[in-house]
Amino acid sequence: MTTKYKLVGLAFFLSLFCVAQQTYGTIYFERKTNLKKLKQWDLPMYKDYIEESPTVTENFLLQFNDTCSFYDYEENQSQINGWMTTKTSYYNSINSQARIVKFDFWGEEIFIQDTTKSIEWKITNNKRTIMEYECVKAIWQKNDSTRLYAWFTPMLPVSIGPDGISGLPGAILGLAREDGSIVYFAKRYTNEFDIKSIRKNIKTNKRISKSTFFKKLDEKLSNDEQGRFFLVDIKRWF
Amino acid sequence: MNKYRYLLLFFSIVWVSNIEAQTISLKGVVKDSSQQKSPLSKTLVIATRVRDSILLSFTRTNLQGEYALQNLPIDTFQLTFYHASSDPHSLIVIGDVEHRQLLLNPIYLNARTKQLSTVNVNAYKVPIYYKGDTLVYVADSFKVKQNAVVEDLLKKLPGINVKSNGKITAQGKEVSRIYVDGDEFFGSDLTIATKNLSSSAVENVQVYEQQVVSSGSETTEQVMNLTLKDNAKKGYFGKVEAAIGPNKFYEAEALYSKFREKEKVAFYSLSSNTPRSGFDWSESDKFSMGNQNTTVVDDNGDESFSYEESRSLNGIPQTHKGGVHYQNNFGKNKKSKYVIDYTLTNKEMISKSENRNQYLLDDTTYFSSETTTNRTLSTQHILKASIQFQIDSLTKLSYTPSITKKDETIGLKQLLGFESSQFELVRSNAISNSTQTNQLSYTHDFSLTKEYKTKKRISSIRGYVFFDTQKNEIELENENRFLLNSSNTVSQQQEKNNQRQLNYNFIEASHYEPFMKRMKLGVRYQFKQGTTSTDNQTNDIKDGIIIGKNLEFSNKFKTSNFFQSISPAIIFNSKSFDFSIYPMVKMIGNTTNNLDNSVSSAQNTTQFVPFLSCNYKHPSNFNVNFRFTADSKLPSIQQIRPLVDNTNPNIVLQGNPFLKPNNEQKIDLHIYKYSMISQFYFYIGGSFNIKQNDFATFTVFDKLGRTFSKTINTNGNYTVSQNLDFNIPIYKNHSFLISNYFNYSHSTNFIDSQKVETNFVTSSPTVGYSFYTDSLSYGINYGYNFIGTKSTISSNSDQFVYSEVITATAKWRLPLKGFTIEASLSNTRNSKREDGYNLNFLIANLSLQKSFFSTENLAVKFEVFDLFNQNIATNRIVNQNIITDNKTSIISRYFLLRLTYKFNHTKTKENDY
Repeated sequence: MTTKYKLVGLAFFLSLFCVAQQTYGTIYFERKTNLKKLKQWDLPMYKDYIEESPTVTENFLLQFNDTCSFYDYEENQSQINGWMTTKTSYYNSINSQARIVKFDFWGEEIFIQDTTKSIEWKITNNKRTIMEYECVKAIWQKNDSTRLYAWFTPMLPVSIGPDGISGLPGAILGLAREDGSIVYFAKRYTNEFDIKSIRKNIKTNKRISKSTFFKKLDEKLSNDEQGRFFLVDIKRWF
Repeated sequence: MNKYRYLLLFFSIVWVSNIEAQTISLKGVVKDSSQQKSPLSKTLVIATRVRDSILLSFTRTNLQGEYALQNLPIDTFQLTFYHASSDPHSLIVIGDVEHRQLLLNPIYLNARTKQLSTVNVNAYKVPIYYKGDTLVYVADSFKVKQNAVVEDLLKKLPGINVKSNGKITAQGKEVSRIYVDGDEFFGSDLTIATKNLSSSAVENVQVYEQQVVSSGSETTEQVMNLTLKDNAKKGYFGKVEAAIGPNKFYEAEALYSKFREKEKVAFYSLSSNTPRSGFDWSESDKFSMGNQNTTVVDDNGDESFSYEESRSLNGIPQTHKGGVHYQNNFGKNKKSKYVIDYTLTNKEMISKSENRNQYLLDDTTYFSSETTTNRTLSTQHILKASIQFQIDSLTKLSYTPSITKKDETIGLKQLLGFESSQFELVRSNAISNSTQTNQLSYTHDFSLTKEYKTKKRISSIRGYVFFDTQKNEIELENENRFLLNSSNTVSQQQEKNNQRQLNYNFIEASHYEPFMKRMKLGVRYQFKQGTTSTDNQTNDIKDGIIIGKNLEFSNKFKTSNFFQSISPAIIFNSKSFDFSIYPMVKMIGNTTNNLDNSVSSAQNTTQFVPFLSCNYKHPSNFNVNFRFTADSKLPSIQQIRPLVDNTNPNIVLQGNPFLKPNNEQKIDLHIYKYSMISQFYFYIGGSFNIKQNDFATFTVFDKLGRTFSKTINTNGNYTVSQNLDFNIPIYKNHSFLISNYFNYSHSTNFIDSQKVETNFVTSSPTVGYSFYTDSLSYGINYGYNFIGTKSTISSNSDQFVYSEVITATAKWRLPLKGFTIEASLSNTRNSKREDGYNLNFLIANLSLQKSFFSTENLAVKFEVFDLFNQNIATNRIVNQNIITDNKTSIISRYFLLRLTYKFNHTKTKENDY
């Protein structure tokens, strides 16, 4: 398909956005993780756990308004093999491009001051409906082996998305790794936005920079094989 | 599509000098196309680079309909305008180094004239694509006949040619190698894979060039890799190990597991005459040994968890063990599963121990020394099956029947010397006891769990039925020689035939409903009912001839017991705080019937036995857990049956059919913190346990020093225990460790009708240091263990003994490839014990290992255990007013040369867990 037709198609699909635009609310996401496709669990010791329940389904919520967003793990979930997935929370300040990553590090919450991840998105002419929102597909070639697909909607005109992934001209309602190992889909939208609960969640006296955090991790974990394994797993979230 | 227009903007451009290099900016205004030409706010403006569709920038118009995009690269890009009530509009901008600030003409968006219907785009898989340098064919995109093999599939692929002799060319080049999932498929003959593998098993066909070195020069060859679908995946892994040494010491084991889709089969066997008497946790888990961890139902019908130890340190063992595991899935989508496990274990254990006993009485203290030789032979078969039905996505049913058969022979010889308080030998005693036990038990375990579409609503029912029969034949010889005044000898010879039958049925049902955002309400009901029958017959023997039944040691008895409990449940869960409350009411009772004299008794009681648990979790991973548990239990069959048991003639036991159920309250508090970054952790735990109607012992000592005991109820027994553990990182991989275990118990018993209160305290503070990296790790620990006792029966009971243990371990992976050295040293010093038991010994273990191949799957290891030949097991036991120092001979110095080979179907490194 030539570029010309792609552009025509893109314009055509985006013509469908004709409902009112919401600039605040909460999007409820469901994340499905296929443990069989995650390399870090491809070890004999985890084989039986994964055979027992290869997919972990978890719920997250993304609160947003036109200045900030907060992506967090929904409370009171217990899944088989839930311990094999990471539950990282992200607070994004949309205007300043600053973000706080609340990282659950083996039960210890670590607050990391960071900047919003800059992503080179490719916009395609594919579209689909998620919830009642028409979405456009965008592609991020993260590295040689990892490609992510995002479905964003201009009708939620805030540049937000699950797991700290954003940078598109609308909210990301669907996100998937190309290999299907991790897939996020929005399941519900409400117009609730509770800034107090967000502030409470990110309130801390101990906030460290990403570089300091990585330096500490390197010091503690890079000296043995298992530690290095954890390092790779942790750094992929940044 | 006529709405789409290319608009080339070379007009309305205002040149402004001196702007940022290599970027351009543009601004403009968006209005509606009506007559009013009103500004359109919140219009989305997206800039996308034409050549690769990369999103460059986006913005939204303000209230005046104005927009501005900054720092766009000098390139050709598309601007697209979207507004909720208008048709979209696009235009192309061709960037120009000489025009870096663009003011675009107003954009007029037409009002949306019609609602476009949804367009569905069906995803499809591209049948051929490049991934890097690899050409990938998606196999399912090419239709082949039924039962086709890979060769048939290859003939369908564009660019691939299969010749009549089986040779294959891809992109004009001859394929030199064919891999299956990256691995050669049974040697170098290409046709083995292409003519034997089913095409339906193939997911992708990948073609790429691979560099090879041949005769010193580097060339490239065409390679084809067939990646298989998940359901076609199969493989195997295993381990073979053998070790031998002087004095006929040996260890041998073989483990093999094969899998294909969901089907898995594993075989394992072990044989040794060293302390290595079982598989360790990692092996049992890796090879799915379902009988290593078993749930055991005891004589009271209570379940407990049992794990077979991998090392026996109580004597000199010999072990032969083997088993098989099979599992597969079945049913719709293969969601249901069945598992079968069988294990055969044959064990022999020879132990020789020496004891020094102190008997503390109110008016005297006397002693005994004993030497015990024990030989135990046992054979055990365990067959267990499990079926798990996934009835629907929310309902799961499981049924697990198991059967265990155990035959055991114990030969015990004991020589005792009883001494007065003046250490004068007054009686010598020789006991020979031969016991043959045959046991057969069945368990049927089932559970049904039903979840609902409403989150957190769940119902479950679970139960088991347990049968057990045990036959026991004992030959007892007991010879006493009295040495104080005149030397006379009294002998006793008996045979005992005991039978026991147990049957327990248990069921538990529960249902939980969500209540508000963070709560669950529920109800739980439990019911257990059991019957036990015992028949114990003892005959006296003289000169090898049965001279009559001994009524004192014979009895027929039957007891039935039950409990049922019901409890509502309140469960609260939040991020930082959890609690659960079960205010349980438990009804408990039993009926005993002495079949010899038809005397029966019954008792029932109702107890309030609540359970409360609270957990607080701070985000810094600081946790506090509090738990209160109350429970009430019936006495065991041994404690209530009206039988006099003289299996050990010096410790005669008698049942008490009038024992009441006990009542116990326990408080646990655990506080811990763990930081993965700093590697700091601490744990402080404590518990307090108090019992009413506790099962205590009423003991009478006769003139010969023998004890006659029965169980009675008593109040006021309690235990306090505390645990402490600190890991303090010092620098990088260096850590400092502190730990302590403390236990204090207060118990009440009756000795010669006198109430005796005993306090018993133990503590074991330890400090240590450790260092760990990939290639080198070492550590050293110092532990100080003390045991103190104090009893109201005698001032001699105030005793305090201690031992010090220093241990050091090191592991070094040498710079020489594949070499590893490991060493451990342990020095133990015992003090203030009875003469002959203050043992000091040093145990040193050393090993040198060399691994071979890049995978390190083959290894040779030379091991020395107990280099200084000093190994011995010692301990001190305090039981009421009897203090015992013990030492047991165990295997000391031995050498082993070990060969280990691990393998798998991928020919890669086979990791242990």
